[in-house]
Amino acid sequence: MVDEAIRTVPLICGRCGLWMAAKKEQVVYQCSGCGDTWELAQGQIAPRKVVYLSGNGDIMLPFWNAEFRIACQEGAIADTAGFMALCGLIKSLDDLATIAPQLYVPAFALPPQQAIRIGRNMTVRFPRFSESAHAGQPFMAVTICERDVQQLAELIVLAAIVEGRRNNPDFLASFGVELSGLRLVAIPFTLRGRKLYQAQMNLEV
Amino acid sequence: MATIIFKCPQCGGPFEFAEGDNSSLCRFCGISSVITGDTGIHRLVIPERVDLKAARTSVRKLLDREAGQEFAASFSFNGGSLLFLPFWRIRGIAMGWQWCEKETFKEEIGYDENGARYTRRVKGQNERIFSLIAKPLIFNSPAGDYTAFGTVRVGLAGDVLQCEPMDYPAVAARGSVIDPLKGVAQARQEALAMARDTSESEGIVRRESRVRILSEWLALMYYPIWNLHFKRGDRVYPVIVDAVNGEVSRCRFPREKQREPFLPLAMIALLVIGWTTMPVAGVAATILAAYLMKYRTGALNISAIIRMLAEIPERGGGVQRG
Repeated sequence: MVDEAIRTVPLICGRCGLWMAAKKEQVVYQCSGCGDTWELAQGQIAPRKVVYLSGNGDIMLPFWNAEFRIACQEGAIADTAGFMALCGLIKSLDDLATIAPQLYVPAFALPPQQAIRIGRNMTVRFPRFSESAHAGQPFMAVTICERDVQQLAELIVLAAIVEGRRNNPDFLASFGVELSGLRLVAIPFTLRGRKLYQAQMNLEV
Repeated sequence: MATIIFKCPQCGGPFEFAEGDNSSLCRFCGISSVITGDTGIHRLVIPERVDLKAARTSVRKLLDREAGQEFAASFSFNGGSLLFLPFWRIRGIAMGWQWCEKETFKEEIGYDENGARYTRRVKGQNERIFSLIAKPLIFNSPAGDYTAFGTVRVGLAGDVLQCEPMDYPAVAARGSVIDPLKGVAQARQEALAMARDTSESEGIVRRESRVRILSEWLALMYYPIWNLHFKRGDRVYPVIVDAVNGEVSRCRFPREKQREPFLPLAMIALLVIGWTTMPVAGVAATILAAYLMKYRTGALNISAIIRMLAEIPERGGGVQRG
């Protein structure tokens, strides 16, 4: 923990020099002029890469995305098949079974329980996205910062695991989630009634 | 929620941040700024609103009100200094999981050899409950042992008062800045202990939990108090005054002379017992009481007797706080 003098930093885009607007709880800032994204890192405005994923929809929702492995009493579980077994899922995924599972943590403002539920639903649906060419599109304000992802990730994975295991204290004591390749992604959703819908995952938010 | 006042980097106007916010909009020029210190401790100070003169007046008023002008005048002011006490303040969302194993009991109905029905409480299988914890957290804790300073309500004050970024040289020029004795790790542990739901303890045989603080806003908030000294004779009496609201939070001003109710009461008892037993004993008791009276007050007249008896209810006088 470093003792820092408290001060303000003006929100100016490092690329085009425009003032950026921000909501109070926002942690990643997008320039309305050039679409570049920035964040506060070590007391300075620094670039933050956002990966735009392809799909149908015009409303971009931000998510923290990473590969993960689970540490538990059975040892390390680093593939999707192992994770599926922990979740009690029977699903034919063939090619995905041997690769690392992907975790999605909502990065926009949501009540904590809802963020865990949406993150769980996305994580257990194993969506396959490719990168989109529509970089720079506006996305919903990011309010969850990178350092908070780890704790949310643990809760999302725990929420996906079958109840029998969650109720085992030895399993819980040894349980941990290790993230790798954490990135901020923007996923397109379409407005359906009063909810947002993602067709590839058949998921309503 | 505490408000922190900065100068706008664009127009220089007062720029307000609500505690816990990452960014704010200047209401004069309309630009946004972010607050730094994400990974560090925000050092803030609540500015004093009561100066030395007002703090002294506050003590004088208290003495006047509770013990009279004559008593207040017996103390002379002997200087004072401003102190800044550090408090930890943590805001965020406590998130994690909690698991507990709980004993369960059920009523079992049976019949004895006479056919009479009875019920008994039988222990059932332990219940295992897993739950997620997600709740807002606001934690205030002194960063040291401040019992010597009386009750300082920084928790409440931090919620309603405006604070400023800590400018150490400027604040140290106004008063003494006390170093925190409690570290940030201990403050966090206390905050997390508060967040864990331990309200239900009946029948719990085992409990496990892992809770962390999300969107953490960690601040070391300095709260001002006046440490004044009053003197009577050779003795110095320290007084603590809250430098925000002017309340006297700790003081002890005793009466100069302790009242002695024992002697007057003993004399009355002696006279009553003497005169109710026999006249000779009554006369002896009167002579003894007169002698004690002369010894105690130095005079033997009605006004001295009244003065001595009037002192009985005044025992324990003086002014005390904290």
